[in-house]
Amino acid sequence: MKVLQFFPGCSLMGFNESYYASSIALGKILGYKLDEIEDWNCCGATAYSSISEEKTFLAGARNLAIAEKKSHELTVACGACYAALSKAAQYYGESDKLAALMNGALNEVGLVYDGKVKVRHLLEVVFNEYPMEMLQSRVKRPLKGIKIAPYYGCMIFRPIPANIPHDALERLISMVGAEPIDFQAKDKCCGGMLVNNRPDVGLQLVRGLLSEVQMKGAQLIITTCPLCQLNMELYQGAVNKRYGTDFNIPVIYFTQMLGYAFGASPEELKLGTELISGLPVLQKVEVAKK
Amino acid sequence: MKIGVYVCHCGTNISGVVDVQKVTEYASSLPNVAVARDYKYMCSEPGQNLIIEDIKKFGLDGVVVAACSPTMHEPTFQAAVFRAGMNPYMFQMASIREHVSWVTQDPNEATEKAKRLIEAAVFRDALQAPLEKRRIPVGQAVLVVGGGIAGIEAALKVANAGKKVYLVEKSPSIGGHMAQFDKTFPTLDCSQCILTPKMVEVARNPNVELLDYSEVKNISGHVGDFKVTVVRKPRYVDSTKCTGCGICSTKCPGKAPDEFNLGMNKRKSIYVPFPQAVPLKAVIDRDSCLYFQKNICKVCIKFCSANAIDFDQKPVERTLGVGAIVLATGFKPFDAARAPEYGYGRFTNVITSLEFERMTSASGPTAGKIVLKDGKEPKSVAIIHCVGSRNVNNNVYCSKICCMQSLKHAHLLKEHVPGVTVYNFFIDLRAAGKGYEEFYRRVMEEGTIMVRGRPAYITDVPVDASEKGKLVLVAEDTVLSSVRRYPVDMVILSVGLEASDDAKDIARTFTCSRTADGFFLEKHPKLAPVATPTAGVFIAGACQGPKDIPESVAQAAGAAAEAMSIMVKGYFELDPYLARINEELCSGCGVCLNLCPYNALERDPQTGLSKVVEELCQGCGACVAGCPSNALDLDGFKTKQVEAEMEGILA
Repeated sequence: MKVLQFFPGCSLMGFNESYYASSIALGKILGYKLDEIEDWNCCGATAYSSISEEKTFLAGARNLAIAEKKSHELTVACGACYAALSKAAQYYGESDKLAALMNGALNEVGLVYDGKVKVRHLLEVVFNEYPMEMLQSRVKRPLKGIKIAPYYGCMIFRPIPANIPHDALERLISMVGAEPIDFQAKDKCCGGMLVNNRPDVGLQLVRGLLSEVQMKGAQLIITTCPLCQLNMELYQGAVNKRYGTDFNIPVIYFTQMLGYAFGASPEELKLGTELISGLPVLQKVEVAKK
Repeated sequence: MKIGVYVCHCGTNISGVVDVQKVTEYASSLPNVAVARDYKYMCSEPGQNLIIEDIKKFGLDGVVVAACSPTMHEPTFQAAVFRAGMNPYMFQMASIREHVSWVTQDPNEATEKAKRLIEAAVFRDALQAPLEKRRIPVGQAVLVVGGGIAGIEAALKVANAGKKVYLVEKSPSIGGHMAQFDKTFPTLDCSQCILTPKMVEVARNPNVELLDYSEVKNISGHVGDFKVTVVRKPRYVDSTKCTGCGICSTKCPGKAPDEFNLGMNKRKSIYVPFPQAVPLKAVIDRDSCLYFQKNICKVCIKFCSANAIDFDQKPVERTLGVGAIVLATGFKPFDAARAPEYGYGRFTNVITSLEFERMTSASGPTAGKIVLKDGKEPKSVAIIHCVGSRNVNNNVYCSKICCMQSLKHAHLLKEHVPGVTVYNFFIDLRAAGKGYEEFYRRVMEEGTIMVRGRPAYITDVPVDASEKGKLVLVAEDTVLSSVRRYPVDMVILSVGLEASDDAKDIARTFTCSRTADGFFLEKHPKLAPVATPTAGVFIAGACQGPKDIPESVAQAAGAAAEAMSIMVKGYFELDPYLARINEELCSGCGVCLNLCPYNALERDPQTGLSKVVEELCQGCGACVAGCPSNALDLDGFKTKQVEAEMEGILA
């Protein structure tokens, strides 16, 4: 059993607990265990960075220092956590000034950081550490006949690109027997926090994404980031109301898709807890098979 | 040893800060100094005469002038001492203007520093030895590499002055990119109509030997006497027999993408590159030829009445002797697929500016019709400036020609497609040039919509009915401060200019340097823009950096004049700064062989020791610094001279 030192972040503990549950369930099948780091704090994403970017890195530094005590690798599942923590880790090595600031803050709380932690997104682990043939051999429920939109969100590739090819999700979708759409906007912004404070901008971004998904006939969207899931799903109603569209597309996590294909139960994966349930689409495949 | 020291006031440039009297007094107290004087303007006629008279009167054998920088007036004073019968390399200069008075505010500090620099110069001068400039005879022929407009122009200028020119072009026809353009900005001259007469002229000129379909393999020698090996690739068609009738092409069953039309249509496997090609001779493309690939067909042989087809042709190598070289190897258009946000290669109606040029050309793949891939005329077209330029992800530099090219395309669209809506998306509009701004105004008056903003991306996903079936540009209009969506039928990407793919190899072959962006580096950006650090090698056109046709032509003429000026004189003078080897100290380790950037050091096969090839040595001193046995020294910069100079400064 592979042990992955894991930083869940606030989203996975709260409204996106299905992501955490399905990540754990996927681990049971593939043979990894998520080992949550102790006493972690906010990754530093969202509100901090717009007020003081340095504070973002201080928040990140504490998590990195705690992680470093156990291992030099830290796995995260949330896109925003990935971006915030990988920036903190990389900039620590690049800027003496920032490193001094981070070290000073850590000193205050009796921690030390040596700059050794490598932050990885869970998709990197799944994609790079398990050969495609091995994954394919685990497929118990092939998702034949459904079209799926691979949505990476903006943060997994920038500013610090995760070590995966730009079609990693597409390959996973094909591997489970489904058909990936050629999603041009797959790494475009979901609107982030703008859906709240500038709905005119944020909702338009959501609409753009959903329009392409709908145009290309995908019945399901898979994503790697809780914020993307939230925006793409929760705001479909608001988008429909504002723009007169008729979107009703479920958005689930790539871990849920894989777990389901590998035979995990919907309950284990917390599938069906979405506002727009992904289950009918997935179950339709089985009905068709029978 | 008797040295004269002359301290210049330079009006008040020096004397305003430096106490010239004190400095002169100090100089007269230094060892070997026979006389020290100060004067208002040493470089003036009376100032120079002062030196000349002293040399005769005191029998001086060394002179030090403390004045401006040696790059300013060293040649002036060297000539003056020479007139008085002294070897010019017994002269030494101390820069007390650029290095002292202009950069030091405190008069005491300035005076002290001037003393130190003069003392250094005096110490050094005492150890200097007479040297003679080297003269190299110059061969009376020029090699021009690249047959685009710059190469053609340079070749014509040299040939018309009565000198021999070898014009080497790697593709089957000369003409370069200019032959592919339809119109030229801002006058809208037909590009081919002004270029083809020059192409014909250069091929006909008795002083020009055109080496088409050829490449330079290697080069040896030095300014005045370069030996250049050129390989002519096989056309599989005997150029002396081929009449360019084209019957072979019409009968040939093999097909391949037409390079001249950027692959927008197919050409045959045996083909003449374009109707105005020079030389107008057919060429066979091995990769698509049925004979070469499958050993069948041979249809061309059957139909060629001139019996010109020759499948057995082999590459032919020959060596040319030339005195000077002009590199005019051009550029490569930016590959639009490297800006994936604009979907080039994914959306069929997103095309590059060069493809648009071929589309508007009457001899192009659409016979001059501007059409979408489905054959319909576009109702709206967007032109995006700066694709691949002014962007940290691709090239940070401005490609210079794209603004004007885009405006020209806007004009051509309005002319060819009545009622078409044209958008130009620009960052800044750069229309600096004769008649350029006027052209910009004209294009705006024709109704082209100028949007200040670089589109973020292009999508074919509509969000409302007006966007159905369109390409939608999402861009911030920075004048309105708002993000807008612009649905259009066609997008033209105004791609920038990049260094050609083989620029690296060419630079290595001809020992010239490149800037970080890959273009060839000139010797001086302002005062020697067509020379390179390698004597006798000149550069012209877009291989030196992005530039338009008039600039390329002007630069080509400049490079031709540079080549002529060393050829007409008949000899080339080199500074006498040469590396010397003390064979008793040399261990033959060979460290210096790799350090020399000019390949001027070689191993003597008999002794096993290093040997300096004087013709190639540029006196840079890299070998001297690198030699672990101190076996190398440099005339004019001998270690003991440099040490004496340092002693003077530290005294």
